[in-house]
Amino acid sequence: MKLINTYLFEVKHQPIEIKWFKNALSFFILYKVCVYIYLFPELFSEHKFIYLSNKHVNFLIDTSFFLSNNYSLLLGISMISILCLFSILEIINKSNYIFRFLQWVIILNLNNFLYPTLTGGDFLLNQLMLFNVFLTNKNFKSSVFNELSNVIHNLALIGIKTQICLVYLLAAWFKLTNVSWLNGFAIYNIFQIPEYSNTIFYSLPKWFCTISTFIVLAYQLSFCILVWIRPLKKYILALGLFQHLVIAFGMGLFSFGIIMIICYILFLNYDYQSQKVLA
Amino acid sequence: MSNLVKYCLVLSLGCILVFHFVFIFIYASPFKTTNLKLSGYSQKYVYPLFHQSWSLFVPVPTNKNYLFVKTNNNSKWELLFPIKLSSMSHSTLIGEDAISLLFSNSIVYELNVLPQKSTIYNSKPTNQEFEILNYEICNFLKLHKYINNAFKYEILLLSNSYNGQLIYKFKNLHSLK
Repeated sequence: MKLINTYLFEVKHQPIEIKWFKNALSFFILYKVCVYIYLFPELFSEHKFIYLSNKHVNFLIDTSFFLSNNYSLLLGISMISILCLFSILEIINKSNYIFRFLQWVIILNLNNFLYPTLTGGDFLLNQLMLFNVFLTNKNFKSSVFNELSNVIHNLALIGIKTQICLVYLLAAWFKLTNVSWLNGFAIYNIFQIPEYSNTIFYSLPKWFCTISTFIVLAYQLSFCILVWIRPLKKYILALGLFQHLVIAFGMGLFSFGIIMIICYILFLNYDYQSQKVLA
Repeated sequence: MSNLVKYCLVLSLGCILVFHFVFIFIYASPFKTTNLKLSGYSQKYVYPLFHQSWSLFVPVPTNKNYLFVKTNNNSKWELLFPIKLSSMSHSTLIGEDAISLLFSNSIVYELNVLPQKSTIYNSKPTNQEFEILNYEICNFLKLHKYINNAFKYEILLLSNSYNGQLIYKFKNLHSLK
């Protein structure tokens, strides 16, 4: 228990990676804002493609459907502008717990409004923004506040890493229940569907797709164990990086591919290496 | 901070974190509990604030779907989906995936309720799935072709699978007000 207390209360872990992660997340949100502006007629205008239906459950849940339930052009533009502002504040280190909480609420609202257009990456973004509320590199003058912010920061960091491992574990579990993934035809079949393919993927030989299917399955199944084994980590993350770049640029699921790559930042552990050098 | 306070804090925050992930696990995993109460609680806790689904490409899509539209003053069928092959295609980097998913989901939901034989509809079907798909197509046409004008159009939906091709034609559709 003493060891746990020391780990959680004494310092905020991985400050370098946290800063990179927060900046990457903020730039990703700024990219999303650019997409919202570019696709404004399709997503937010009077002739938007989004079919709206009101949702009223209770006060807490309704806050995440505020934009959907009370949609107006002005409200949409305001939310996008505020999101943009909060992301810039985060990049220049002027954000705080309240701004980050509001940023999470706005992301939830925009994602619930644009629900039919979401990829897994957007669902993951919702979770990352929630844990991001509690991540901070700032130190407080009061030691009590400092210890409190340390424990919340460190638990949020554990939370994000658990969430990423859970994503891979559940994705692998679903695949193990499917015959196409088990007999190795899954990736070949996916690459025959025009919306997830291109001319290169379409013409890939069957044997290559079968090997790729098993590599993906093995990767997802073993990620949450192998990523903690230090000598293997860089190879695991490099393979993951390659996979997610293929998903982002080859299969066209850009948001999903990029958000997964952003998550890898937290597994780098640069601080650990620098501590070892200092020792 | 005294050690007792620290222990209590770690215990309570740790419990919240464990509770959070256990409920997400129950909600998002293929494991279906027989305890209806537990799955009900997980549904209430997770949806919509922590909603997530990780059945990525399970089941594997096997149908190649194509959507064409034809408007009253245009005798040619225009390909609308897959977006990558249509005139709407721009770049993956600027949100093509979002529009593609929008149409892809609506087409799949509509195909799920259509009969397993090729059919011609002379009037607008009344199901909710078609209502949504039609809304998206109509607004696409308004946005890209006929802003402010009323128009008539037809939809052709093709679904190719290992079992063969299914064709659905929806005629006499009018633009929404």
